[in-house]
Amino acid sequence: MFDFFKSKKGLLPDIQIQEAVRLENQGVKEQSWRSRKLKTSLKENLTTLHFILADCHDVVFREFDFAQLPDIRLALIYVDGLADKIQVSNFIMRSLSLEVPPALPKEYKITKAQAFDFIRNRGLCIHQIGETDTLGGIIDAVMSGDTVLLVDGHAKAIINSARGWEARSIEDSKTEAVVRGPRESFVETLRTNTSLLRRRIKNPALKIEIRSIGKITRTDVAITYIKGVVYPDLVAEVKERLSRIEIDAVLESGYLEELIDDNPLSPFCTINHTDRVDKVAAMLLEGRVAILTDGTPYVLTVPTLFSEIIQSPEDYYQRYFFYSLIRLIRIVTLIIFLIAPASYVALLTFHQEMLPTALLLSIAGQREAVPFPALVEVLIMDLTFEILREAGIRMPQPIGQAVSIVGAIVIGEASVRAGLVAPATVIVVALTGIASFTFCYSGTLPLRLIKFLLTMIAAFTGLIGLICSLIILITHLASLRSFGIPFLYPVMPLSPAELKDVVVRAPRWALLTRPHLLGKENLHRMKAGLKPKPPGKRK
Amino acid sequence: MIYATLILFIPQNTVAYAKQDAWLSFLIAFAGGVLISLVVINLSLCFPGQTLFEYLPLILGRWPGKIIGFFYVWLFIHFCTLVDREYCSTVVAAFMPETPLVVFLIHGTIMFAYITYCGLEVLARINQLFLPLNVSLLTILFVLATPEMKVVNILPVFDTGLLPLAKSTLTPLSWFGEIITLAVVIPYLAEQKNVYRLTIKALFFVLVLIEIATLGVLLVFGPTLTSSYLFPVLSGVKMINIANFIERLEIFPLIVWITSGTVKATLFFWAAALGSAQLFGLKDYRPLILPLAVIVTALGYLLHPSIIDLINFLTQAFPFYALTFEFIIPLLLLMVVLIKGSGKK
Repeated sequence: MFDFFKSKKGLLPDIQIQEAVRLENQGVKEQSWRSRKLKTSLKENLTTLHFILADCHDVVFREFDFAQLPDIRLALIYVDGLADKIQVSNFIMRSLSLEVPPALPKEYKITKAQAFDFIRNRGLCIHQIGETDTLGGIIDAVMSGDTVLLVDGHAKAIINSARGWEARSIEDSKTEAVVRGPRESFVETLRTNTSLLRRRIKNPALKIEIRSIGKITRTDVAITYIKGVVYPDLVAEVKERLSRIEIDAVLESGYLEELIDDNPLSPFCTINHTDRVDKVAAMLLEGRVAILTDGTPYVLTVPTLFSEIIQSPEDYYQRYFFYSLIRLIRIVTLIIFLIAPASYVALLTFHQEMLPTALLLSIAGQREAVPFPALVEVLIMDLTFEILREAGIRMPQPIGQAVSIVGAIVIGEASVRAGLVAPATVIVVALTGIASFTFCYSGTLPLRLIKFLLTMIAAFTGLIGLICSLIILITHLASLRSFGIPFLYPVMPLSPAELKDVVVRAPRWALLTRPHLLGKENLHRMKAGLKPKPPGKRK
Repeated sequence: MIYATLILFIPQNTVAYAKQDAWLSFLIAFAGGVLISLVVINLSLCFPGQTLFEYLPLILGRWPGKIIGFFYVWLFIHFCTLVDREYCSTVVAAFMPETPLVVFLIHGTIMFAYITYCGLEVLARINQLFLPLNVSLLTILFVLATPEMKVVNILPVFDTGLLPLAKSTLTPLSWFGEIITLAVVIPYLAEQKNVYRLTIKALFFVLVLIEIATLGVLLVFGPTLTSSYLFPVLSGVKMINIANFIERLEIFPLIVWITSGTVKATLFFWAAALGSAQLFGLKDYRPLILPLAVIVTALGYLLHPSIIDLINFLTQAFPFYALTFEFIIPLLLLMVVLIKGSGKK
């Protein structure tokens, strides 16, 4: 290959392409060569491609003669490491350069003009092939791991899908653990991810529409939905918002998230993400749209409701009695998480009379030696907790957990011993910290921010200020929409029948309908009256 | 969209007149409220899709209509200010006596300004959350206070005579009359047809809430004590002590107060903002929120030097002032419309 390159070094493609590539390299014009058609001459095509792919040392150009008709030269172009070498050498090169298709009659003569169709139809042992006649098509295919076959004398190319690269294997979900339920989570490869979804929903109604976003990265993004369940306007809106994006790179779904969000100025993210396959499948079945991005296991699901923060996939796998209790506990936890430090500060600063006397005396006794006001105390502990948590995440994994736990205990214990904070404060902050782990991680991020704000407000204006800020918070949440669906639905606007999947988890045979605003296309999930009955009472 | 103003006020002055029959005067006031709302709804339905400020010029001609409209903007600003001030004074007097009043006025104004900025729909939504919350809190408090209640406290019934009863009805009637805001809200209702049913329902709901509070307080304290407390509901809740564990629940009536007061004041604020926008022919009322918020805060601070003055105003002057706008003017307008035959074709 190297020799070939050297010998062609003097050659240059036609002046327009040279100009286009040069302009592109200067950042002036973007890939105007993309729509250029191929030439019939292999030499010219290769020169052009060499020019475009100059200095891309991972691209392999392999020229060889066609076994059936030795005066036809073929060229393979692929990226080393993205294409499966075994497939390329065994099923493309071997069959083209050595073997004769066995069923071919002796007198069958291939002419130069037929060569392309012959190769396409009889010469390749590749499961999926395509054709292109533009430079852009070739470059896209090569860059995404396909192997392109050029045939001399034909202004077309065959795209062989012989991809095979190193990828992480499918593992447990890292962010949302369950005790009972599927463990698979998404990986970085888009194709693997779509296959995981397809395995859950074996139905042609599951649509997976792929488009590429990112002028430089050309990242594949799949818009996934179940036709007949999803509300058609929603799909149109998702496509519309995605097609508006003109950006150089999409490295993670977070890039898209911020560009298609309804409420860019809100601390709350109205687009949820998850790496759990079963969760995405359940979301799709409720009438949502999932946006899969190549290169990240995190899938965006829209529209998002605030109530998703207290729902875990496991709720639907375990028996409903206990998991209804868990739902209620999560709601209480949510409230504790948000207002526990704030009300602690408010009570100690302004409203001591509201505490039962015995409790007040005990706390006052603890705080006697503490030199700080309640606010400073709580902020110190909260900040420490946030630092420990951040450190726990960023630290190299083997030491991460141990250090964070030891740090928490040592700092908590030592600061109490040293008289810097009262034990009651440690309890409040620790409870708040633990409470935040009850929910899905990303959902708690805005609440963590607001918790600090509320604590400070409570320290200056007491419970009154706290109530006012909570009203403003609720107002803000009520004004949010995610892809047209009110964020607080089904609490606001109130839809009492649907609270059975929010406040508690109703038994499977009672969850007859999809959420009304999401699934209005196809409301009924199941037949009514499926509640198991003794045999005598069955109809 | 359900419309329900939540009125939860200090039933003190009513009790002062009507003694143990205060709960009766609310019933009468409710009847009056229904009458007022019927006038307002009929008037509004003559001009479908238009607010009070839009059809006033149609009824009275351009300039007179605008002037009356201006009075209504003032009325809504004043109502909003009063609610704001009532709640702030309560907080200062009962909870945080050392904090200046203006701090809470600013709190309140920020709240209504923000909710108004988010729009009527958001207001209706948060009301959907607050209403059940308030009803359940009030009911729970009522139930918790039952050990302290004595039926003797509201006996004998019908002992006070008609005149005191009529006098005691005026203030609650003027509160029920705040349903005049419907004249601005009706065009924005989703279900125009059910407006009668919804309004009566909303009024009835308010009645039930007020009766819970009044009866609860009366049963606990009796008429004499009730009328001598500044905040009888709060004092009533202070009496609750169950097993030395459930006690000091004052925060809960406060939550009810703040949430319902916010919804109510915001509705007036919104009406004032929308009204002034429509009077001046603006497309959007949002630019007016900031100036109005400043006006409301300043008025709230300046109108009354003390809470005693505020309560005097509310009981002595307010009913006549408010009922003029709430009942007499709409009634006259309705008569003009019926005589002129203008409005709906």
